[in-house]
Amino acid sequence: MREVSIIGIGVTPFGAREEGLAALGAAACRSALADAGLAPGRIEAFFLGNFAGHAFVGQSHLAPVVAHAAGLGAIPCARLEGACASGGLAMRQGALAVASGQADFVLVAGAEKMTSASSEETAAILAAAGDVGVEGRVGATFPALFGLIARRHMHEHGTTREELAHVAVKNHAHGRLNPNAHARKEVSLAQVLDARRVAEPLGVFDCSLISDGAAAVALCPTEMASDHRAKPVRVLASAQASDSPALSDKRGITSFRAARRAGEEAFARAGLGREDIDLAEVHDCFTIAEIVALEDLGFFARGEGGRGAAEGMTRLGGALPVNASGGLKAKGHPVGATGVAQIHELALQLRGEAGARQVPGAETGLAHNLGGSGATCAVHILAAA
Amino acid sequence: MDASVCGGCGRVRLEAAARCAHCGGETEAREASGRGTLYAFSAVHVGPPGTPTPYLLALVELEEGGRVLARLEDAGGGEPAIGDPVAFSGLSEAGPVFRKVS
Repeated sequence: MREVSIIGIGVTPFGAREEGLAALGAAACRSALADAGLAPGRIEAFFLGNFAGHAFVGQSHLAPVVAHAAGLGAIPCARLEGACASGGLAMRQGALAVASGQADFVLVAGAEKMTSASSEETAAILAAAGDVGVEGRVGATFPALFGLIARRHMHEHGTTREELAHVAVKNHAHGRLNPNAHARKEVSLAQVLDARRVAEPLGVFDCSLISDGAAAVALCPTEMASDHRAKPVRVLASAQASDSPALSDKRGITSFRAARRAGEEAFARAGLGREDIDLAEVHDCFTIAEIVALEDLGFFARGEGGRGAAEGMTRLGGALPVNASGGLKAKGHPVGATGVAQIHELALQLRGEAGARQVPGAETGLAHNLGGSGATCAVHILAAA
Repeated sequence: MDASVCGGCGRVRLEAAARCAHCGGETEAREASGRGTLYAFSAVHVGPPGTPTPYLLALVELEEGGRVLARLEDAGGGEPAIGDPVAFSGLSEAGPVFRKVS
């Protein structure tokens, strides 16, 4: 297997966008190609993360639609769907295609257009990422499932409502520094605590944003990466695991087996320990999800994840900055784009080009992308060249 | 209360099912007591389209083992708590419903 590097990155601003789904995807693709200094005709395969183009805007078979709009030609292309981990799965397939020798130049993108649906429609579309047969009729929306997880985490580990809120405060503070973020305003602890309730103990500021947006990265073998314009970033590990989709089928609900397994494999493949990671982008679809992710990845002991944001360890300037981009919470969560946008942020940071939110001297980064209530997880570890 | 227990993985479902939806194992129909404890709960204020809110969503740990996602009747008398004893009170359009018992 060959080592893989990222040689180009691109992202659209996240938020309520006027462009359609294909136009968003193509814009991110063109931006990544321009960053790499690659003509579209050089790309040999294309992988696209998208959760529900058919449900949100009536478009399935999205990979050739975006490939055509981006001028990629008659290459093999495929859409990957793993709910909110769709982007992470696309990144993994792209990396595998290069590593295996199947292709030298591969483009990976993620895209979602969500804001044209009503919020009720959106909730119903997102709920299809659960086990519909088991969870469908009881009213188990995603905020409700993570409300159960939060309540149980508080019960088992003494995690507090304030610790959850600190995750939102931190990620909004980071998002203010990201010009492409959906929400660019800070929120106070009191605002988070007093916000409209969604699924207790979670309020509206504990939930990530419903956004439109796309991100893309161009990959090639590391041995060819120095011939390109942008500073290359190495992909040290790509790992993925899964678990039962229904919350009621899991052994415990305060830790996700898929995330633990993908994390262990990624660290083993990269040959790195937790202390070697300089920054992480983790899947904060809800504030509690960031806390669980940090524990599942082994950055914090079980039950201690709430300390991360509350004690400043995961803030920019802390020992392990987490979600310097603003995370799903403030940068936004266009579902299929999220996993690729995490890779974009790490690459930008490892190139030293993240501007006001730059983690000084960052050399290694980890991305954790979760689908459903922990049914799919993709973990990538990247390093500066 | 009708339930099925999987011979392969031991999971309990509150419905008759020939095969386990989790592992594909053969299941055995069983009468469940309908008693259990509250494993987790959430008062939901924003629900799916057409669903009256708020409602209480609960993850109930059954006496026989296994867990089930259900609605919890709002019996008044203060917030529920994890570990509270609950009992099956019937099937609604929204699936199984449990109530607190003393």
